[in-house]
Amino acid sequence: MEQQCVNIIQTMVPCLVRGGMDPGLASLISIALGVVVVTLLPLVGVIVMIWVERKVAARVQDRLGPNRVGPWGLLQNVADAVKLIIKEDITPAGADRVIYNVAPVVAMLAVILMWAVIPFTPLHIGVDLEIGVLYFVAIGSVGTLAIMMAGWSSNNKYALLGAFRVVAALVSYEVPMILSLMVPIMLAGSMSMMTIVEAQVGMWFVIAAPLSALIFYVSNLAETGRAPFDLIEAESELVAGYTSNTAV
Amino acid sequence: MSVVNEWAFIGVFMAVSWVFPTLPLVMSWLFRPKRPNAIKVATYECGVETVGDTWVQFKVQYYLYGLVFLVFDVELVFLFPWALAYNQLGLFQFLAGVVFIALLAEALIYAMRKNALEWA
Repeated sequence: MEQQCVNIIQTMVPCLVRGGMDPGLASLISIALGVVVVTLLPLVGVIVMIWVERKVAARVQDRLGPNRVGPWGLLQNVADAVKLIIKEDITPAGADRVIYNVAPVVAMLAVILMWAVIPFTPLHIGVDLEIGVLYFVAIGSVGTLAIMMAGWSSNNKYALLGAFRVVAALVSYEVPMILSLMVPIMLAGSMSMMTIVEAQVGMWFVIAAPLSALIFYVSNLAETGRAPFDLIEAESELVAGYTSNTAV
Repeated sequence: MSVVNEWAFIGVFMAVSWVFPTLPLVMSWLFRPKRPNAIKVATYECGVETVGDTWVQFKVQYYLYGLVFLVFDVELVFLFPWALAYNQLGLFQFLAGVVFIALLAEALIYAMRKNALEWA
């Protein structure tokens, strides 16, 4: 079944070529189809995972979580999306309009572009780059830039201070994250994601190098702003910090 | 896939994927009401008038953090090839990498002793 799944896109190219299409254009179309699949899969997954997180976190805190909107609150995400789309968007006076509107796009791009090198199954990956890990880390750093753009362009000193704090924190945790990523590269002898996965057949690298796995885990908690590092956004203190004017 | 095709995926990805975050923004711009007035677009400062300049002078500690990060980020970029070839290194090459890391560890100790990493 999986074998057929891959070949659908790959067999499209010779079909189109036989139908008289230029082979470069045919492979470009198959690449574009692959791009759309790789982008939509995590986005759909995120919609489900938001619901899972809200329900599970609620139960952990001895409450129910969203349960009004659909059966078991399943349509809560749809309701939130509709609300966000039809609410008025205020661009503050004196804000740098272009950067203000581009910052959320850049922040989301930094995450979407990362999915190109993430292996979904042993047969499915966007593209198995030779330098997969380096690409992953480099694209992840673009998110930091987007936060600075958001904080600076809103004409608000508290958003700016919040952005400074967040960027200082993110930048500090990038070094241990990349250093701990060196260890799987050393163990597998390659930066390609598929090679690193296949090199773990004997023993998972989490067991072979637990200290670096722990450092990577903690650095990633800090990079994504998860507890116990969620003070950098300071939702209840700095009035949502760098997001007080724009929802990045 | 040949090497050219590999990065073509990334190229098409970059050309196409900006549509996905922009689409909700465009839909919102089409559907939302646009009634700005002077109070709504005023700069937010917990409901009071803003005091002082907006683009405040930032503390030098942020600059020092950025500087130290830059040094170690460049170190990491130089460490990538050493880590890649780790399995095939002889003793001398391994020690060369260790000397490089030791030099930068000394730089870190220097920065710490000079209080560059202190968040005062």
